[in-house]
Amino acid sequence: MSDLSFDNIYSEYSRLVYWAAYRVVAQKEAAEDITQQVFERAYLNMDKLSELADAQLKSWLYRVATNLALDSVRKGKHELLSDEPVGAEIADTDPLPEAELIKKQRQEAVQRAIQQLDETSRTIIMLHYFSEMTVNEIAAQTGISQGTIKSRLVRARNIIKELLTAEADGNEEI
Amino acid sequence: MKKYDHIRPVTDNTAAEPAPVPPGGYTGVGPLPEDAEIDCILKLTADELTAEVDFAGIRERALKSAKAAKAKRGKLRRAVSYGLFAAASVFFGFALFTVLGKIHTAPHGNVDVLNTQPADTDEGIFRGMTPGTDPNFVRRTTVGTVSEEEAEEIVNSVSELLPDALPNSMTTLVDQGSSRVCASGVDDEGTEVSYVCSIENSSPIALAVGQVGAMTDGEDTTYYWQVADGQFISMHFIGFEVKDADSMFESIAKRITEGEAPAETTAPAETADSAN
Repeated sequence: MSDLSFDNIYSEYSRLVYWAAYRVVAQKEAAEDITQQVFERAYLNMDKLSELADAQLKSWLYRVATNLALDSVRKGKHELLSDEPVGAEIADTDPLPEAELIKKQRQEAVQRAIQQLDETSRTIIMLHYFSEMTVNEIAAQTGISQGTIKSRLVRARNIIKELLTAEADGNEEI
Repeated sequence: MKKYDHIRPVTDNTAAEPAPVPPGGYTGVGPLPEDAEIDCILKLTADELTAEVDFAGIRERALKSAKAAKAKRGKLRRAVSYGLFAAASVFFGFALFTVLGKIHTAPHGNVDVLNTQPADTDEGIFRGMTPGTDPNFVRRTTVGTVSEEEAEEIVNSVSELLPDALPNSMTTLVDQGSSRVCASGVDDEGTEVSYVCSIENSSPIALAVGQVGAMTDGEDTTYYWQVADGQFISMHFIGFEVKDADSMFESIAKRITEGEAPAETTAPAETADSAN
């Protein structure tokens, strides 16, 4: 990676790291803790990381984030809440302006739909949309073939669309 | 790529303007339009949730923690380096001491070291060592051997093993039954001094036949000399300066190895029998 500095790495990959950790721990604070730990290690290993190509660096960060998250869950530091929708803990009980309420409802509807996907499809959706990884990168990290990833993405999107439509229809009936 | 450009601003919900309508037109409320693009809705949701993460705070905490860890690592590294240096110093110091000792006691390097000391040396065979500070303050040197007959004669005439240079004021005790002679008193400067010489069948210092081992703490100086196999002459000088003890030992060693008769001495001012 040319012109590599800690700030460059952080601005480029902090989102990937955060959501990679979140995918495992499913808690905002826990994911933030792990993101902090990953970049602490990155800072301490800058001399080695500066020799890596972009793809290798991204892969290193993803692996460290995932491993730390899995360790954290194993040690019980952060309880794994697999049934909790993405971002559910940020919901707030204060009255919200209408626009914000609509946004929150949409976010929660999308998160619930994602939670209803099977494990593989959920992982692929999280890595693709939240960690912003390409199909190639997901294939490299998960070992799933690119063809499978593409077909899973199409199928997952269709399922989410169906779930959102059904939820919207339900809301309308109420 | 701009700094944090993936962290898109959260919509200002207090503003009067309506919330932006996501691509595909779906807001999460009401029926999903036929042309709603789930792909865009997912991207929008991911961006919004990402914008709620305090990435700047995480960065600050990571940097602070990393710098603290780096400082700690540096301290640890320095401590290990110092430890290794100290260990290496001790090891090489010990090795050097051992090598010097071997050279000193080697057959070609130790021929009667006592007799080869410079006349003006103040330290005798302890030259280069620090009395009272070096726990291994022991020197070995080869003085010589005597025949079995001579060894037996020494055992029987231990009362003669009095240095010529003992102060005149010292009282001498000859322990007739235990092959030991003692002398005690004060020297010319009023310092209490003692001398004990005995014949032993072992030594606290590992010695070869003919070899003498000497140790001192700067005030007390002891010599063990294996004059014959299993026959050790022990001489203990208490309160004497090392150079004086060295000189007195040398005189006795010379007398024994060269068969010289003891010089006429006035040292034993009084002789008593301990049996009395």
